[in-house]
Amino acid sequence: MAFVEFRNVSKIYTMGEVEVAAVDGMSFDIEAGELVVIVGPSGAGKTTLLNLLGGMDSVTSGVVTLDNRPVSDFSEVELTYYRRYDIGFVFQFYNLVANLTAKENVELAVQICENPLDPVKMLELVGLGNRLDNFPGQLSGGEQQRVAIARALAKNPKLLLCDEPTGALDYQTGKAVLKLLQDTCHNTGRTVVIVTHNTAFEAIANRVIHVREGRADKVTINRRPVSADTIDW
Amino acid sequence: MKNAFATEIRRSIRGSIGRFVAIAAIVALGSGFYAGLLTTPTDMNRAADAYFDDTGLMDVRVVSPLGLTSEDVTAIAGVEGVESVMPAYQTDAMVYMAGEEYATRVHSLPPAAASSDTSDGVSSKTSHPAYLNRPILVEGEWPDGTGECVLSADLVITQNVSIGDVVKIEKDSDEEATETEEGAAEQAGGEDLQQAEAAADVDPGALGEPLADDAAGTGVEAAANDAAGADVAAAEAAETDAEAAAAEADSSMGALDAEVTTPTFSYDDEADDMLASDTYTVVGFVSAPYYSVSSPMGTTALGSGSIQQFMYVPEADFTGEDLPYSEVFVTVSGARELDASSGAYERRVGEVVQGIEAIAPELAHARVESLRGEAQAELDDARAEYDRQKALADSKMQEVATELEDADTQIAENEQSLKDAQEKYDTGTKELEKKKKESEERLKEAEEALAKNEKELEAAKKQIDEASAQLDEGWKVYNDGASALNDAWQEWKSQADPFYENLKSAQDAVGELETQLETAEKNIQLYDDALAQNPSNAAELEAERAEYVKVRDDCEAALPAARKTLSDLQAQQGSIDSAKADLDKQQSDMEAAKAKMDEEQKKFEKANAEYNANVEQLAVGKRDLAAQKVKAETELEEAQKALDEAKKQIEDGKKELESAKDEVRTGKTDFEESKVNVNKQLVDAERELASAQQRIDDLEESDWYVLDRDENYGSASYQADADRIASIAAVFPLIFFLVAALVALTTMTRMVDEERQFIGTLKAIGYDRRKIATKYLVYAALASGLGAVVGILLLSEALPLVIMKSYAVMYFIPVPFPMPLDVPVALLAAGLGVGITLAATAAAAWKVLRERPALLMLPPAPKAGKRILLERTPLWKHLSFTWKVTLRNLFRYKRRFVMTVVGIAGCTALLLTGLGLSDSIGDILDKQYGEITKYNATITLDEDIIDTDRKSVDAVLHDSEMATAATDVLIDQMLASGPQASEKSFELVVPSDPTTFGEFFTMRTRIGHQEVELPENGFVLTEKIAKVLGVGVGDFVTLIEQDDVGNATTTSYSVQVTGVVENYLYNYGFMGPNLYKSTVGEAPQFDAIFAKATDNYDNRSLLTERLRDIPGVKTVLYNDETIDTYRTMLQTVNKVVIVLVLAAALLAFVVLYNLSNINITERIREIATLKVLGFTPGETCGYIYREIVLLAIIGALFGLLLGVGMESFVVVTAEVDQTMFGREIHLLSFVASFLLTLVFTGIVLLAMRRKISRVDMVESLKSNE
Repeated sequence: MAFVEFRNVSKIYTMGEVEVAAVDGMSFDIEAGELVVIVGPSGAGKTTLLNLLGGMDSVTSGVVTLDNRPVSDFSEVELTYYRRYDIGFVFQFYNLVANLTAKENVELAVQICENPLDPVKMLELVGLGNRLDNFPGQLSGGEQQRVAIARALAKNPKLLLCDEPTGALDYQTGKAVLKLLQDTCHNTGRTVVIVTHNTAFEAIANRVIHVREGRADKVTINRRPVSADTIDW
Repeated sequence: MKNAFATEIRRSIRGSIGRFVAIAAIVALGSGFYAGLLTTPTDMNRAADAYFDDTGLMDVRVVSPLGLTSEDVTAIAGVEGVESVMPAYQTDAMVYMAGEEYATRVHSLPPAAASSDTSDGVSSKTSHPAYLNRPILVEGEWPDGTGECVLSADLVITQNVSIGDVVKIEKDSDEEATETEEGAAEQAGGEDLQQAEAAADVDPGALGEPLADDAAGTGVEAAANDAAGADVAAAEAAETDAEAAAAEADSSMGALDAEVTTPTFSYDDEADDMLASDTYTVVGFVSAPYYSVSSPMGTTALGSGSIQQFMYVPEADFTGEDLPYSEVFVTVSGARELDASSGAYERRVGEVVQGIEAIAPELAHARVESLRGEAQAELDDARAEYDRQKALADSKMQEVATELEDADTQIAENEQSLKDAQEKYDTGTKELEKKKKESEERLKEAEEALAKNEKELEAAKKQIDEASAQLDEGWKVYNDGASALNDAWQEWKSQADPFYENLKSAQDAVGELETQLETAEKNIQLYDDALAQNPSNAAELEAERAEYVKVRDDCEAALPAARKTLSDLQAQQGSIDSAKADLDKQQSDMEAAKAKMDEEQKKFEKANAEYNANVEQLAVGKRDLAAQKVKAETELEEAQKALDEAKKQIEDGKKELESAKDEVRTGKTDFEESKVNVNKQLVDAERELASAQQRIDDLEESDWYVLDRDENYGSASYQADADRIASIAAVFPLIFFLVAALVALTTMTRMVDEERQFIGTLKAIGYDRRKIATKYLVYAALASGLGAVVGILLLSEALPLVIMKSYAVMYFIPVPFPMPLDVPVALLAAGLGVGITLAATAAAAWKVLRERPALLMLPPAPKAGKRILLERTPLWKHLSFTWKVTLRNLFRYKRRFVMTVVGIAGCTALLLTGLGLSDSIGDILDKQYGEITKYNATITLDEDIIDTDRKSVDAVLHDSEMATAATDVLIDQMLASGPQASEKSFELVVPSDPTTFGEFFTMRTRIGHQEVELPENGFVLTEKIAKVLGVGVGDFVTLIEQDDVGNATTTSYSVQVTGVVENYLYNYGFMGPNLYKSTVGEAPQFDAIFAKATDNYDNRSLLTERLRDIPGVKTVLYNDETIDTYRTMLQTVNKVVIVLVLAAALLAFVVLYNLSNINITERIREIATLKVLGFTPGETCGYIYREIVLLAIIGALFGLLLGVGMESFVVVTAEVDQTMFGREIHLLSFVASFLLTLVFTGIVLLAMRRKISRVDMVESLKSNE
């Protein structure tokens, strides 16, 4: 059984009289320790997929499992604890708490976890050992995103979900962040899922899931992923 | 384009309805409260003005202590500007109604009242222009005959009176007491005189009788009786005499006291003289514009000094002789059209007041002159009467002196007769002794004779006894002989009897044999003859003859033996016969001896009988003696008894005479005393006459009082209360406006920030700043305008209504509804509310509008996190990061901080003000009557209460069932002036015993509760008046005597304050008796009593009854009435408290809703992120709420501070001169205000919880816009 399984998952939003299927019978697997890139055009259902996988929304039908646990059957409370203990999230716009320093932002996540990692070490790991006490406003976009990654990692999650992690960053910074994510995956063996519309990222992934019109259109296994340094977009 | 813009505005309102409502609500509160509080005084004044106009309340009232004549009335009517005049009568009386006595002002009701129309309950329409101060008939009918009255419909005390009840006007106790005294004295004098006369009549007879009896008394009994009789008479006589003398002295004294009642001069205005009746039937209840407040209603010389009830009786019932009008009510032409609280009204009325004052002196002078003439005549009469009385007193005293002398003489006489009786008693005693001795001698002689007889009888008895013994011996011998003879006879007989028997049988046997022989021989013969004749039967005859021959042979054979026996026996017969002869001789001897003995016996018996007769005789003798003895003894004893009694009576007589002497002595002393007394009274009377003369001479000073409505308690204090509300109105809405500004500022800032991009887009499209700003200004104007309109419409009706309804507990001025909208005030309030909001909005929009469109298109530079001061303290490390965020956030958004703190502080302050106000007024009751005033009853007495009545009062108060303690005091209403105020009314209390006065009134400072001493020479003021006057310990105050109307007189004293004590109700000045004496110049007359009466209701009414039954007791008042008054006042305040609590809650809701609303919308991404991070809903809420709660707590703490200030402002503003509210806010009120604020916060946060839980996590994925 795969680490993550999507089996015939559908998510239908009802907007008044109209029913819109954001995800419509999606199925795929992800193995543990993989760096997965999910690509697709806008409106293909990437974000919904991420929401369902991240426990932020529940399926209309189908089964989602993580590490043999039926996420799709979880109650609201179970989903909260699922997000808390199993998922690390990296947002496009970092979503740091402006009023907390880098270290405190990491601590914010750490304080509710069971087996957290040391916040300072995490920040050192992402190369911000000297910016611990800076507020987000005092950091560049890339640095902020690194803080966000450190925050996600410090929770010691089973799955790191990244939503367009480079979307708000310039090219160079974006690459650096991508590299960090790739390194994290390789060095810690953590499963990392990156959602993006940027097909250039496909090269660095172990597994690429192409999403279109609410379905996993195609899943390719990349035998030889390249380093993030080398890709261009 | 314009349409699209308008549509956008409309949509943004719809899209942010919460924000819109928040602005509208706070502006509604601010403008509404402002308008409401601002219009309240106007509404009150308008209501009062309308009521007074509709009931024809006078504008001016003219009074004169000497009364006003119809000439005066005409003169007043002629003054320029006077519209109409209504002369009227009034008098004060204690009226007994529903079981209590109330100081009541009785007014005359003109006949026009009956035709007035008061059916709407708020006005009185009349066709008589001179009918003023028109009461409104609430229930029942107008009085239309003598003895009918109407009472106040509004006063609490009237609730116990029903239509048909009869109220009684208590006669003035002064007069009553005097009359009673006179009567009693006359009566007493008369009785005593009669007694004395009777005693004098009886006297000589009583003495004479026993002396006559004495002569006749020769025996023992007579002597004793005489002695006793004399004594009794003497004693009785002595007693009667003494009593008579003493009584005479008493009576004279009483008579003198009574007769020398000094005639005094006074202008007579006592109710019972002025009114036709002293009982009135209640026929209806009225609301009187003249009395529009429950307390104070006016001052009076009666009772506790305050009018408690009013009463209207038909004008015709004021029937006193030559009765002048008490007062004249005046309306001023053109004044009705003016608002009574306006300056124009005051000026208009002022002119007329001056006009009347201008004519006053002349008229007053004329009045004085005419009165003086009358008074002088009266006084002259009085003086003549006094002279007559004085002469009478002198002669009476002379009479009494004579009577006392008579009593002395009679006592001397009685002493003499008592002495005579003693002598007679002594003689009687001696005689009795003699008689006793004689009787004893006689008895002794008799006894001796009897003893001699007895001795002789004893000797005789001995002889008889001897004779008897001899006789017995003789009889014994004889009897022995007789017995031996008898034995001998018996023996002889036992021999003779068988002998004679044998003899006889032997004779018989011989005889028989011989007979048988003879017969046999005859028969043989016969047979021989027969044989012979009849030889045939020879054989048979021979046989038969043979038998006979055999018998003959037998007989012949037996005959010799028989004959021999017979002859033997015949031989013995001789000795037997001789023995018999011997015995016969002895027999005859014995008989001779017996005869001799019988003779002896007879002789003895005779002697014995003689002796017995002697014995009997002796016994009789003895019995006789005993009887005689007893008789003698009884007689002696009786005599002794009689003597003893006599002795006792003499002694009693002596004793009685002694006591009689004592009585006479007392009588003499009393007489001396009364002589002094009478002389003193005469001197007093003399003085009084002199002072009356003085008063007549002084009459000139008297003047008119021309009073406007300011002197009418209801009208004036209602206006004052309205002013008070106006000053409160100036402060309270400030908070609301301030909060409104802050709410608008924060809300609009947030709105503008949210619409940054929209603004940028508009700018980019080409809208100019003004146009863009218009959107926000229109938005703010719509919100605040709507709020202002709703708030003003609602609150400018509701607030005056609540406040006036609350005041309606004390004021009987109708509350109109709806009240007219005060347009200027409404515009001002709305303008302020809207203006403030718009200003805040402009300020918020300006910053953003200034920026370049390009910048606006970008998300706003997030407000950088900043270190706060706290981080530099070691404490910081110990805080959890959520606390760190909270604290940083607090200081990051300063506007919100200020808004929330100010808003919440306002909320808490309002709560604290309300609760504190309730505490302050509640404290008046609890502290004044729980801690300070320890007595609960005040009894006032007539100044000249007589001693016995005074003692009765004390006796009643000493009954522990009735009262536990009482102390004498002097109470006087006075005025005081100090550096900051003058002529402030207060009650002077001079305790008779300052050292124990603390038991009745706790003398202590308010702060620290230090005990304050009242030295004999000290003067202690209560806190409120000290503060009003502006004096403290060591300062001097001027005390001014006041007249009956409460106006200052020219008599004043300067006194140094030695202490200031805590007190809440009324103003008191406590003065040591020594200081009083040295200041006023005369010793204090303690004419009142403070008592701690029982709490038992039944006993208390009994106490009242018993006290009131004592002449000289003026009034009995309990504190309960005052307590009730303040209870109702507390209810008023509680209504206001409810309004304040509601306002506070609204304030809290608006501010907190706004704050949390902003916080949540602004931090939606943060909240979503937290959710994504796995925060539970509770943790998420806690993260956001911690900040709000902290702000609320900070605000509440500030609010407590602010509240203390506001409460003391309100308390000081709302206080009246006679009352000091409590100065403490109770801890409980602090806690309650704080907790209530937090409860409001909690309610808002609970409501906002849903909003947080509805935040979609997907928000976290979006960009900042």
